[in-house]
Amino acid sequence: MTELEVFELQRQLAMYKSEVKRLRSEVQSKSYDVLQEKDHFSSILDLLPDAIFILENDQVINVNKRSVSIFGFSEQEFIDKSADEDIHMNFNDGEHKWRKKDGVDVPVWVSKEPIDALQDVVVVRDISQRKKIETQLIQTEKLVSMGQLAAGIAHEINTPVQFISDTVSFLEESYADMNGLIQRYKKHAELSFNADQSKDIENKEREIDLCFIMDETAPSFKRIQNGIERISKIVKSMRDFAHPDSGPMEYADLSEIIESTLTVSKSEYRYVANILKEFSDLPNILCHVGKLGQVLLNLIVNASHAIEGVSEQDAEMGTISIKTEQVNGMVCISVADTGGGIADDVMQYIFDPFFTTKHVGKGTGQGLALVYGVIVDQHHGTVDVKNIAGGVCFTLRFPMDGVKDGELNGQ
Amino acid sequence: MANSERINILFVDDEVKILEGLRARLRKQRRVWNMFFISSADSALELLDMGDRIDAVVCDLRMPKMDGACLFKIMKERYPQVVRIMLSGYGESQLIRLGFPYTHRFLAKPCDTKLLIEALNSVCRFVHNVPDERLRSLVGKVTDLQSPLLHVSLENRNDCSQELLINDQGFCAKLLKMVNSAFVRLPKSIGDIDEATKYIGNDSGLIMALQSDNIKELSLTKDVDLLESISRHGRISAIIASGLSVAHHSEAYVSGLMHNIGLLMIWFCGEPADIALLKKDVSRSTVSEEFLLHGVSQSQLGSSLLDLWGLPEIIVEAVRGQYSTHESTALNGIVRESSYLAQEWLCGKIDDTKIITEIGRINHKADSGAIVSDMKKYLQEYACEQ
Repeated sequence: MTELEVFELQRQLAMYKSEVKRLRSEVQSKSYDVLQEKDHFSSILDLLPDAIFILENDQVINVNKRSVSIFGFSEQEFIDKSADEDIHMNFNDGEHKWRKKDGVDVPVWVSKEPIDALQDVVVVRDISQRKKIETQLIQTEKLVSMGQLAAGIAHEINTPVQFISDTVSFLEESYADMNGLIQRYKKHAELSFNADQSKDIENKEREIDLCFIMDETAPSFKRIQNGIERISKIVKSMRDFAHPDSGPMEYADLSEIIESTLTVSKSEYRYVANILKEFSDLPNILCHVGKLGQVLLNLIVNASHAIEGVSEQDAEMGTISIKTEQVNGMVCISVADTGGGIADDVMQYIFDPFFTTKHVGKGTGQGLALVYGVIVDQHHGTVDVKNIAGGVCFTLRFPMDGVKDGELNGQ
Repeated sequence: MANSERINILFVDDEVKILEGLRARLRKQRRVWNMFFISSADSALELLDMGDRIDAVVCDLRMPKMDGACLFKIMKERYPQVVRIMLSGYGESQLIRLGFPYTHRFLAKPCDTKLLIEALNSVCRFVHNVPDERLRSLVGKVTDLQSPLLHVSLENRNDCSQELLINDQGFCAKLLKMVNSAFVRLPKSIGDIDEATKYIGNDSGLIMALQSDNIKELSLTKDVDLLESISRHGRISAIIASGLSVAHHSEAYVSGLMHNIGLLMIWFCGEPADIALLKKDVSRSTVSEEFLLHGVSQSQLGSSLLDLWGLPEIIVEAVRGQYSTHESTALNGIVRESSYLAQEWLCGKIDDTKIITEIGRINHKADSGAIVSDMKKYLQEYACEQ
């Protein structure tokens, strides 16, 4: 080889060396970028609210942080579980129940997608919250259909109540007429009877206890009428509550709405609280009757439950005070109770949907959310709550005559 | 009712026990009226077809096969002289709307017997005061007295439209009929237009029931000028009456508005011969005597309708007694005076200053100036409508 050829080879070598160095540096840089991206995506996967599994040949090779936090197993435990032929982890699409490490079952929604020929990504969503809401929705739907039934039942009850009432009035009148006739018979008979006949009559009168009959019959009729009135009142209140939910606002008597609500909710408070009413003389107010009734119902039921919760055996009855007044064109309704009040840390959540401090089955957590929605959104008013001596007081305020179209877009 | 026979009332309900209960409950009224009970609409029609005289039918709305609304629709066609009273329960708003035009009075179920007796007493008064069956048919045919002209003008303007509407005699009567019926279930009777509109509110169902179909009246060869002069007289009388009244402004207004509603009834439901008679009378320049149709005064016809429709007694009596020489209520006098003053002013026989003096003379507290400017304003609005 000549000197020139050697020199040329050396030069090329140096060039290649430098090129390799450059490439190495580029690779390093790109590697760094790739690692950054991997970290980035890894962080994203870890931030997602659902559990993510990467499968290769149907075996877990990778899980995100959420899988660990939801189910309690570590990544390695997942890998081992899926490799174990005895344990069948259900990665098929659809709704399943998976068991957490602590043994508790959790309802999940599984969704699997292939990444390529070998690998799949599986998203597993914890749907326990959704299931809870679905149950509550079903419950609400049941209540709604019961409400509709109530209107029909109320109507059906009216028919026999009508003819019972008419018939009883007739009997009352007839009894009075017959009584008058008997008195007249007596008047004439007393003059012409002999001693034996008189004695016979006296005996009969004593046998049937005539005095008792005379004393008790009129009050008996009154009792029946009273009972009929009570049935009619309950039926009317039920009907008022089956008011259709949609529909226009109308003018109505607030005291009547409150009385109606008290009738319907009587079974909730009658053993635990006395009702104190302070109604101002208000003209009719523009409102949505059915919804306002529901609002009051929720407040009264809540108050009753609260009082029940703090009262001990044989304790005195609590008090639910309902007050209405008019201030500057706004109607003001306050419902106060002696149920111990609302804890400070809970106060800010009470209007949230589905928030409840009651036991399962006692409340769905929707009562106060409804109160808020109806008064603030639909009646353009305000709802205030504050703890007072021994309990809590809710104050509802909204315009008595609604809001004119010019002041607000629509109603 | 010293000399007349008892009236005949037919009760119709598919629930036999309800009928039996009613019969027992109304036992004491058997000296006032005869009662018959039947359990289907079909049978009721058969009974009427047989030609027996029935003065009123009290019917349940919800019945199988033919319901109350359907029955009353047929009865209005065939037997308009029979008064139609409907009993309806809550939640039957659809059927109520259908039945509203053909029913004189709607009563709520469960039925308050006192109210039912009151409604039936109004039938007694009706038969007693309007013995001519032909005239009772006329009254019975009336469903809607709203001016067909108003319908036209409502399409053109939308700002004063509500004002014009609630001051139309026919619409006002219909509104008060509705508010005093089972629709709204109020414990007292309403004679105040503003209060009535409040109770109707935005309820689209009720508003629909108040719609008028009278536009077709225009296409017939009916005398529109006659209708207008009746309306004008009514409206001006209403304004004056309200001003003359010291204690009952709204009832006086309504009484003034309704005082000549009998004429309106003849215009809508009378025979052409009747209408011709009416035209001749209205064009007379003096209003000293009342218009009589076959011996019955227009005030009797008008007040009977308002009575059957359940308007408050104070208004019914004010309209009925407007020509009576012995004043039974203060409103009679007010209605008579306002009718007279309105007529004179409309013909131009007395001018504005004279009327201001007259009004001041009768009620020194009245703001006569404001009243007259209201009257003039109305004429202007009315004139623009054409």
